[in-house]
Amino acid sequence: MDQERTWIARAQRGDQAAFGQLVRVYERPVYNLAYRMLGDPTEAEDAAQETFLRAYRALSTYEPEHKFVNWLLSIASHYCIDRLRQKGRSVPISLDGPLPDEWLASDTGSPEQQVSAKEEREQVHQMLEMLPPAYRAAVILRYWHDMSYQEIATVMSTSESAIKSRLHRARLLMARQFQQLHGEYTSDEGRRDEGTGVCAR
Amino acid sequence: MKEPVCVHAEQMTAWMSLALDDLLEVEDAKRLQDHLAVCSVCRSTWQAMQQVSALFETAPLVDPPVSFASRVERRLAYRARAKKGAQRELGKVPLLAGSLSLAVITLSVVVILTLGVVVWHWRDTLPAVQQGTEFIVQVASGVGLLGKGLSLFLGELLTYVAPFAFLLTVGLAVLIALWGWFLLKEPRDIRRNGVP
Ligand SMILES: [Zn+2]
Repeated sequence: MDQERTWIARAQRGDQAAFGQLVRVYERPVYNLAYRMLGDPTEAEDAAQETFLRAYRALSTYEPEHKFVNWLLSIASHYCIDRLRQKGRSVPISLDGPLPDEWLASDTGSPEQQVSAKEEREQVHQMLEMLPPAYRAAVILRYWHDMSYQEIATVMSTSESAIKSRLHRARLLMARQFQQLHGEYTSDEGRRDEGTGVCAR
Repeated sequence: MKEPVCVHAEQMTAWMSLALDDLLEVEDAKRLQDHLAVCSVCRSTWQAMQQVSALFETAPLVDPPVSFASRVERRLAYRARAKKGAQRELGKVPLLAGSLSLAVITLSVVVILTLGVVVWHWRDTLPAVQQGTEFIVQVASGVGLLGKGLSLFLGELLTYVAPFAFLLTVGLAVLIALWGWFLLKEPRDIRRNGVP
């Protein structure tokens, strides 16, 4: 922590080597956020690099009462949201394209395990891809960065109740998607209990 | 096929979301459980939400490319150099403009003072100077008239030509901006490879 403060102070005075140390410490969370937001390793690297360059330029505005990593993630999430909005589309997921190293390295189980890991990856991508950018960021910060609602709100420059609502909406959208993918509502179960299919209790 | 609906779904799904984050109050959790016991619609949603949540919880963090940090460092160094270079180049422009205008002003003052002294000194003795002075006075009033005419002409011209002049200005501004962008832009491939 003291080490981090020293690096930040030195970087604020223009010491690029000190900033390089900060990049090494925080490249993983920043890259992961960008990767989950954009769904593509190449775009993710570009966005993560851009995040650090922007952070370096804005270092004088960093307030030490915030966690440095959260400050970086704030820059990254705003940048990724802008990028997605500018493109006006969800970035297509390149499931056949190059995969990040970790995933390839972790695919060492039996063929069956590899297939199921691949399916899970595809499902995660599909779920995230259907979410609007601001919902997507809230979900990613909650699940992959273990943030509280308060922290997510600070990172995304909004209120805690907005985050509560975004997570609710996002989870509902994804649950519907999941149900569609797994053929829910086509079974009789939904109607057997209530007869009319309308639950008013 | 008509999808079954539940009139409590909005409240229930909000509670489900909170429950997934361990933030649901005990009383609300009890109400949710009671509702789930009798509503298959919400039960199905709850199962789907839990499954998606479990999917995300087990999805691993990924590693950035091995050379990520050094690429960021190279881009930083490149930008710092480019900035210094641009500052050096831009620094020359005001210096040049400043020294040129200073030279012109100094020269004009010297010429005007010399002429003034000459004219003042020989104003009565030299008829040529006398004539010259009168001529200058005439020229000056002529220039004044000319200026007035010119301003009228320009005013008239502008009412008709204003849109074209405006477009020309905008076009010029765009061209200048494009040139600036082209000259200052960091080549794209540097993002991948670091230093050019
Ligand atoms: Zn219900």
